[in-house]
Amino acid sequence: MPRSHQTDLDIEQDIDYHKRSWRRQRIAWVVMAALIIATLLGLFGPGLLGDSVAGAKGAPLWMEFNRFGRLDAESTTLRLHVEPGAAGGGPLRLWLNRDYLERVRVMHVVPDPQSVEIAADRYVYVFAVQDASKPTTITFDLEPDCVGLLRGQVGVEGGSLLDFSQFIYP
Amino acid sequence: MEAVLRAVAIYAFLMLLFRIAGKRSLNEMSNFEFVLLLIVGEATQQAVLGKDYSVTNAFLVVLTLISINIALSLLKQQSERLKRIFDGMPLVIVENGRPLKQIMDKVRIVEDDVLEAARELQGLERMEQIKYAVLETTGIISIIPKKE
Repeated sequence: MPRSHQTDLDIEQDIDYHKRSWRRQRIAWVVMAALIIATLLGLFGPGLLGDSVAGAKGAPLWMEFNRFGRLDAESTTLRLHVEPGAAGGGPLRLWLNRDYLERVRVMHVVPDPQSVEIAADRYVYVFAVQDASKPTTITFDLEPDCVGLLRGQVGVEGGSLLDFSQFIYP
Repeated sequence: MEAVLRAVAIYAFLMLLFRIAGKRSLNEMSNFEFVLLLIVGEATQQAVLGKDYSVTNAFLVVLTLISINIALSLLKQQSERLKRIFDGMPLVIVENGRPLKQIMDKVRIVEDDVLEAARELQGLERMEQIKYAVLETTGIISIIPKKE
């Protein structure tokens, strides 16, 4: 190891080493700032980049959801908008595909469904609707149970269906 | 987004609180102050993390806190005024062996604190041996001994 030439100190000093590490530090600071900006924009959760819509607004069924979620955090919300006439008469029967629901924990459903029916490939949530001429919003608060890409399908029985995908961070 | 905002809010609150509390608070820690610091940590942890216990959230919170610290240090380097606002200024509390009582009262330092620092740092025995004692911005008392 080169030693200091300028002083009598018995000290290991390599100014080039420090210069290299300062340069790396500056680059890391820029990366850190970029990550914070990305976070504020919603790359790791809710925000401009993270908020997404499946289906066209005003369609019989459309959904607002978070494109990015986090493992073990109540970080994902599916907000389903059912426009008048989407359900036909009777109770509203919304379904979510089983593959998706096996990879998340359903923390709350607002409003509470009347019942949940289990079919081979889907769970059907049944809601009593008093006035089918008004739009309805159903919210699912979810806690992802696995990391990576999640693909889901949601629909109204006998009506339209939506495909969506989310990325879950650890 | 929430992780960053929570971290910024807690950082700003703690910064303000510790500036109000004064330099000596939690500097020379007694056992009780150590416990107090732990409780502050526990209480703020809840507020910073919320209900999100994911690794990503922890990374983002830590990243934000460290980044604010770096950004502030850069700003303080650029502006003397900001440095004063965030760090305060050093303060002479003993001059030529004479404790400046009024100043010491304001910063909650007693003569024993100065003598303790004098013993620890310089091996001095009496107040008269101290040329200057300075309360530094870090809350430490530095001692300059009189030349024999």
